[in-house]
Amino acid sequence: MRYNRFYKDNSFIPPTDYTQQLSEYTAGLTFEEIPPAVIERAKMILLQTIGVSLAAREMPAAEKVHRMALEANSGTGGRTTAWGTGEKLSAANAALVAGTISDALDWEDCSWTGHPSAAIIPCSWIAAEERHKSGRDLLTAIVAGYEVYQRIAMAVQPDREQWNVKGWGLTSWQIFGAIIPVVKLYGLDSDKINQSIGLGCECSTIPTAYHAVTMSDFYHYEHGYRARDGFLIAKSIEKGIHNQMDALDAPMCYTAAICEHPDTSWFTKDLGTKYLIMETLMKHWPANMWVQTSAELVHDIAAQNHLTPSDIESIIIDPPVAERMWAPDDGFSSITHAQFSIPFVIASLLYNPVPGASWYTAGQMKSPEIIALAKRVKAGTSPADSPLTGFLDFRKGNFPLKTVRVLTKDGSEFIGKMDCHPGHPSNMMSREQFCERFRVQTRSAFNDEKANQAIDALVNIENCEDIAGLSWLLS
Amino acid sequence: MGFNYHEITTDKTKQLCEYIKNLQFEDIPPAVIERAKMNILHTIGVSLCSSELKQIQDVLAISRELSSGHDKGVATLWADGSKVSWEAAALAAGTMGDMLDWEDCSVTGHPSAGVIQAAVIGSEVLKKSGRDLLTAVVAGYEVYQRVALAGRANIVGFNIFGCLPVMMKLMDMDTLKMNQAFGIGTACAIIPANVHEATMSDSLNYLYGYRAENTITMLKTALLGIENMEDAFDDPSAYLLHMGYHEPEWLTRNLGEEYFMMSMILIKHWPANVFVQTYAELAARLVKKYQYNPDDVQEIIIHPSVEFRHWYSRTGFDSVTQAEFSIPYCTACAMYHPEPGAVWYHPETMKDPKIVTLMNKVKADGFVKMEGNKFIKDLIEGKHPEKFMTVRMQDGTEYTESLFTHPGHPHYMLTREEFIENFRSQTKYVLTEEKQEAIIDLVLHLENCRDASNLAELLY
Repeated sequence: MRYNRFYKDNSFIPPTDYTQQLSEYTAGLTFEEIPPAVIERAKMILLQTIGVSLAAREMPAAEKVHRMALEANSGTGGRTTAWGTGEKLSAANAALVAGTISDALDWEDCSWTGHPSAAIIPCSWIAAEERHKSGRDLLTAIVAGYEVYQRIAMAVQPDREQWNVKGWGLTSWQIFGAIIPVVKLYGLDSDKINQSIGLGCECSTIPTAYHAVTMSDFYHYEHGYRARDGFLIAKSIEKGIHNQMDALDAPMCYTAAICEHPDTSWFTKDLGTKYLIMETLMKHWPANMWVQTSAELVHDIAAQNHLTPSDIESIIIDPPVAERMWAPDDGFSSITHAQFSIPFVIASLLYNPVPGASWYTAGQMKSPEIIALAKRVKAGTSPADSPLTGFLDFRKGNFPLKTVRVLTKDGSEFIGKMDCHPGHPSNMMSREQFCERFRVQTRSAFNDEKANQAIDALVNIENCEDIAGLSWLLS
Repeated sequence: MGFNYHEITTDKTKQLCEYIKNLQFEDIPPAVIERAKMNILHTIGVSLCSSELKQIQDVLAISRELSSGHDKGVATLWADGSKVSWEAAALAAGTMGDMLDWEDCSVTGHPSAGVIQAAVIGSEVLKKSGRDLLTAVVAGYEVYQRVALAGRANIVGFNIFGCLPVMMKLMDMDTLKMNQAFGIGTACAIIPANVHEATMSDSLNYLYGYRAENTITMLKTALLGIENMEDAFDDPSAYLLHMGYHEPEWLTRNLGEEYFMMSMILIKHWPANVFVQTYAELAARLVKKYQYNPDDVQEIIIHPSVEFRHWYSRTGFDSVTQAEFSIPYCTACAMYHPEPGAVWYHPETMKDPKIVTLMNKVKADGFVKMEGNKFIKDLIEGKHPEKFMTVRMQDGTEYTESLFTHPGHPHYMLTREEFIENFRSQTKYVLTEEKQEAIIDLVLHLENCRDASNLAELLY
């Protein structure tokens, strides 16, 4: 029942219907109406997210979250597959695993509002596998997930003051990226989807980003927690609850509780006509968003000029990025700490140009030679870019221009400039580049033949009758 | 201390961790132990009582599915008996805890729905003693209440801070990992929005289940090892800043000296919202004392009622929560069913034409004066006025009773015998008499129980 006791003068219904519009959009979206370019992008995001998840399967977080999921599941058994190991688990426990490892290398994506792929892709896949849905159903759910997630998230983005004081709660609105694809694939009607959004609002975590304040690797688990919660919520709604509707339309139910200056016009902005999934940035390197361009430039300069770490005198990043230039004497306190360091990532790629989990072993993060090289990566003289300003520019279609100067011990100087790195929406990777990256990401999991088979299955997934038949490519 | 951008100038998180670590059974006053036992008995009773409702059958199915592996589970699914994972058992028991809104109420919400479930299930999984269980319960209430009073949120969100300390104590975690687990808990705290309350949704019950389940994952995450995430109650940008108000002094106020569970927690006498209790009590007393037929009632006058709980329906209710929160509905229900139970919230009861008719005869003669958020605080502190209920029969006869509050209020606590009698009533359709008496005996003598996992074996 649509009822909110605080709207007595409007027959107990809030005066807007954003929640219902988003719900009807989700319920009604069909594969046939989605433009081919959007379908292609959804497939590439699927490819990348599975690839980076498999790349993370040897990380400590992957091992730990598998253990937790197995305990919560009472051992193996269930209708869905644990990414990375191939064990069978119930959907919620599989989502805990897949959500966590999707973000474990910080390599999947970054959108205007966070890492939607770490919720949308695992939850879509697992729900499709659980209910034996087709590749077309899967792709449709992915698109619905991005379009609804992004609009809700944009409506509650913090302004500059809230961001600076309270932080940026990117793992909070992630819950909608988890819920929407699942309810779509479960075939819930628009009223139940409306309720599921309501339950998502009430289960939204405070937008604190404490992982960022303390540089904690709990960050990655948060994505797994949200993915699991998405399934619990969808299953509860499927069984049936009463009321809990129109939560996006009542400020006290969501927007005012999470954001000081919400912009509710975002909820339905260009819904069904503009596909915000196309604005998602796909990462080229396993590192934080604001590390990508500098890493790309140094990689290109080193490759083109055959530079090795011992050749490097110093590397100047200009402008530097605030809170991304650290290189502590005693190494890094966590994987997140290292992923957020331009010097560490540059040193890692110079020693090991093939990106992957090997960059973030405990030994590498404390390695004297890595730290020594990282310390030779220095800030240029321009005022530092702030991540907040970068995001504001990103949402306008821009990206900070970076200049990198590599000075070698023989006195040579190499300069590179770039704003939008490969994977930025304005410089999106080609299908071939995505496929090549997938091969890199899965090289510890797959041999060449299996990698090619997986690529073939994923780039032609619209022809798949039952996603459950593809579980072989998850481990 | 782990990495933190901010300068940390207080140590309240550490103090809470050390309190949990150092709390000993022997240090807890006997009256507090007795209250803990009664709360255990009561919360188990009301949880099991709820199992005949559809939503609990639904969550039991979800829990069994969550624990779909081939290994034998480590925990008992309450009211069902299946062996499932710790997480799955917590999901179901957490949902049951508040299903009938019958467990407790404090200024800050319903701590028992988290504390007791976490303690009983945790003791089963970890094979802890009765003394360990009781100590964990006390730690849970004391930490929950202080965290909850330090900042206003969705009341369900506080249950994270009831479940966490209970399990930290049972697991005997080191204080660093406790500190990190609190950091995880604050990061997973939910925003101060109450969609269920605005829409009167029975989703509320699942919210308790989710929190109970989530906290086990939080603790395992901390135990298996993360980096940093410490001092979350001290960091200037963290948890409290996101709450409706922040009064950090509550976090450690009289910690170890004053037991807030004695003065701040009301035990409910009726399966209904806290503001409905005294009216349900009056209705049941009237019909029992004067033996009238509720069909013959002309009207029922309440003086004063509570405005934001005084709603009606011409057709009955669909949402259990909406019915639980209606003074007219619960007044009518208490007259037709003076022995409370899940029957109050069967779909056919919530649509029963006789109850709907009587509900619509309940009239308010004024309302208790409200002063913002103090309303619940005043109720718990016993400052609400005396309430009168007058039943006017069709033949003109009138019956009137009055009460300031109901049995179970901190100023009018139930006796041990009353708790036991209520437990028997709550569980009579769920447990055999033999099991009822075994549970009562075990809980009353918990301090002598070497293996409290025996309790869980009786809960179906």
